[in-house]
Amino acid sequence: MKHSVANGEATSLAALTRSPDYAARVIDILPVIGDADSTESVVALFRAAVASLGADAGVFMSYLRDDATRASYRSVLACDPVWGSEYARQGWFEHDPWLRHATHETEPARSSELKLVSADEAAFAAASAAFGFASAVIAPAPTCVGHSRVGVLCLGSQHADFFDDEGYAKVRVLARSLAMELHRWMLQAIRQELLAKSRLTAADIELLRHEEAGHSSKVIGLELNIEAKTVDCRFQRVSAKLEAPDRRTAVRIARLYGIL
Amino acid sequence: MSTDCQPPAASTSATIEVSPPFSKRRLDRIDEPARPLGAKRAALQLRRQSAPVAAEAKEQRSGTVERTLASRDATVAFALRATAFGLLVERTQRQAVGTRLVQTMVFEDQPTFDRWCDSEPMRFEDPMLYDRLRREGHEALGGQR
Repeated sequence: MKHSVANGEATSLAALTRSPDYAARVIDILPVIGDADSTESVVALFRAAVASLGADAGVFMSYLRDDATRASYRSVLACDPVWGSEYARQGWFEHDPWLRHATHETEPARSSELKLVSADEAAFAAASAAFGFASAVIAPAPTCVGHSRVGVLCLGSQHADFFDDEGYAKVRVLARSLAMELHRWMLQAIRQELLAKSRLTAADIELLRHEEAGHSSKVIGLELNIEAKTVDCRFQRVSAKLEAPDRRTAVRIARLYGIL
Repeated sequence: MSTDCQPPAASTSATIEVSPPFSKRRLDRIDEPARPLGAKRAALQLRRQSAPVAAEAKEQRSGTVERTLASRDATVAFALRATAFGLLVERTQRQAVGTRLVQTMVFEDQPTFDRWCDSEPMRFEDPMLYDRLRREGHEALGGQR
């Protein structure tokens, strides 16, 4: 994926963003992403958005901390897929400065503005440059659940200073919107995945709502006209379905995945 | 020290009066890091988590569209599906400590897929899986063209 080239030379970001339909092309794609019905459609739309923004590469990652023992990193690639292999091989998720930025900040930033805090992060930056991220825009997708679930979009260019001109002002706004739409789709996808995998019933979700409201087994038992011990048994089954160690964690998972 | 048996607090009431804050169970704050588990519970959770992974190591064929390939130790799995946009690959890697890395990508042509396969860490760690990945990928890419 290469950004626009005119007369054999790469067009600057400022020149690209001056095009009258620059923003319109991206905005046309955004509403379709959040409601896309298949993963492959989202990847195709993401690629189209990356190209429309003038970037060479794009990665969207969602981080989710299920409980004390589990965390998941899910990414959608619109870049050289070999970067994905490198990321997995090196375990970069532990030293990813883009993800760190998204965890602590809500504002988009350019890679040149990121302060790398370790040798591993410097190695990450050097490695990513070889895969179309010589310069990058990092757009966080914050959520209402703080550090437990965050998303981050990274748009890359193979040119080191590509995002450093005045065109960045428009890219910043559009990248933020793209990050939020991708995160919206991701949440829907993981919610559906969990519901299908766990086979939670409406009664299970009702039980979780009681726990979320802080009701004790006795109170729930009175409400549902069953014994408190039966409530405990049902909670054990719900926790097992969600692979949670206890009912408090089950509620946490249900909230993180948008079930409650 | 008194040896008198004290009767338990009255609990014969038919209705349970719920008055905050005593009626409220503790809830974990969702925006804070997850509550650490005790050693016993963490060990139990680890055992529970390892059980379904073993089951997923089996190859699955759901209908004719999606194929799931997993490594012998079930730490890496690939879901392949031929789509109108190309070959959709979802690579899932599980770490021993409970971390899961899921990467989703679409390959439009065979040379790009082959280049990615060449960089795949499983190439040397599980050559049989790697071979199947290539074969199934080529099949799916050939089928969708």
